[in-house]
Amino acid sequence: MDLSSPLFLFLFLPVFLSIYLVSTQCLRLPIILVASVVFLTWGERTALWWLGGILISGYLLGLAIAKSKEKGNYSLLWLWAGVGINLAILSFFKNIIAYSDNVFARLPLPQNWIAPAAGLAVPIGLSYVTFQMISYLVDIWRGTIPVEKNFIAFSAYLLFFPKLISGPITRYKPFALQMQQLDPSIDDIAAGFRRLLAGFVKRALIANQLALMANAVFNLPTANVEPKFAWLALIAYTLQIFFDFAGYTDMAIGLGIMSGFRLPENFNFPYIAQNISDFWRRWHITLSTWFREYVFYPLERRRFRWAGQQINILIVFILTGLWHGFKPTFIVWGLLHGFALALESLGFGRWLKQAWRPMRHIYTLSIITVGWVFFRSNNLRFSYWFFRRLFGDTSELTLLPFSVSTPMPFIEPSFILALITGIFFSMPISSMWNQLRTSLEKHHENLFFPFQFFEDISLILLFILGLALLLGNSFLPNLYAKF
Amino acid sequence: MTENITSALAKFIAEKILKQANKVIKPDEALISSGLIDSFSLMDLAMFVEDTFGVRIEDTELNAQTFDNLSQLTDLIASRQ
Repeated sequence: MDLSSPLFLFLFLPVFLSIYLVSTQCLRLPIILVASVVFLTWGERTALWWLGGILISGYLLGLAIAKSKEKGNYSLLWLWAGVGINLAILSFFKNIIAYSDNVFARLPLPQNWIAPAAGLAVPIGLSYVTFQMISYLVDIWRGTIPVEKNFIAFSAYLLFFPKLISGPITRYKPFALQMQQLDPSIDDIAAGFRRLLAGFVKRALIANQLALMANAVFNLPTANVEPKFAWLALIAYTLQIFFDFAGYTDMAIGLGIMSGFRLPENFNFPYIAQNISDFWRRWHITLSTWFREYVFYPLERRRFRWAGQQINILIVFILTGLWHGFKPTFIVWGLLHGFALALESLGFGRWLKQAWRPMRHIYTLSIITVGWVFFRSNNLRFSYWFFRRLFGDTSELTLLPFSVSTPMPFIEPSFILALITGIFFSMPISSMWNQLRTSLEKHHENLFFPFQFFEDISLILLFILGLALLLGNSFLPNLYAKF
Repeated sequence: MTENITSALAKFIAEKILKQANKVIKPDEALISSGLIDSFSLMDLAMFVEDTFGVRIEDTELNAQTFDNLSQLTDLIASRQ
């Protein structure tokens, strides 16, 4: 179930909130768990079995690690067993089933075993659940958190439906502290709804409109596209992936606030970054924090004497690429960011800090957009030809019939509007807006009410507009749900 | 005692991380949130603290929430010695 679907917005959410808010505090955690299981199984029943298996094994391994630590033996063995199980399942689904249809056919198995297995889909939320499970087990082993003995609380942490499909990746400790006091106020519910609507609007009115152009170009079998359309598609995709993912995160955070949780932020205007290191402090923050704390720092403690840090950076970014899928395009994307960061960790980063500010932005946006070409292309051959188109190469270009090339020949006004709005809101405009709101709330209460009224009415109108597009069957699924 | 810790930290950060031996770092100057020290250098700082003061800073503590200036890092070290 997608958070933007009418089923979720007009059936699941009202039912969940009605039951949740009228119930006593001690019942709220079980209600969250039941709601999350319903959310998970609504569209994909098999996901429950896989994630349920991960959940039970993780719960037992957490207990085993804690017990072994008390006794002073085998705790590392249990930890590696837990990490190994999670990584094995993640690798199996994402990299074997997702990208190799005939893998089961090659195995010497009876036909009646192969047929149902070949139809397996990657369980939704798998990447997020496994990464949160690994961090939970490592933290128990490090002794920074106690083991969770309450299975309901443990399951609610991992399956909490707002963050199940696309994060944000949440650490156990801050989540567990909040589970003890689930009492959202009226203000929390209102703030949560505002954040939910803002996220929906970002996805429906900006990302969805830009996707029409980005998909039309990047879904072509070859990069048979004029240079100007290649540029337009690249800009459209650069904005689409940000507004789609950031919008989804806004919705997740909004739902969290309504339920009494403060989920971590995942984005902080990534396209205003002044270097790639800065970009990764602003883009998919919870994933980069996870890799930094559970992979990069442990590697850094055992750094090679020669180019050790640069090797560690490359390892982390190859893994970041692989997290998105075992496709060469993702690995090249990861390597590109890794190389840029490795250079920045050497003298280039210090030189860049002294460089003219527009130069820093040009450098950063160049690496980011080149990266998105690899990230979005179906294969490296497409990327190669796409880059040739960007540089104005029109060789081997053939005119396609309208039925194939649409909507490329016509640029709709809605697309132009979404493009301009996207560029505008990629800059920290909303931060200034929030500062204005806080200032009015504190110092000019008489102006705050009309300000809030105007903001709420605008959000509702934009939501209705987005909903009209959604009901017009032009809504596209959440990009990061497939990772 | 804490003044010695602060001055040793300031010297290490200026010389080894920022490569500006003459830079004066104020005790309340933001180090991580301002981008003065990035994640590439945080482990160097943690290793320096570990080797010099015998205090371990966990990987999950290398962030601005745990310490963001020399005063806070000094207090953290002093509390664990």
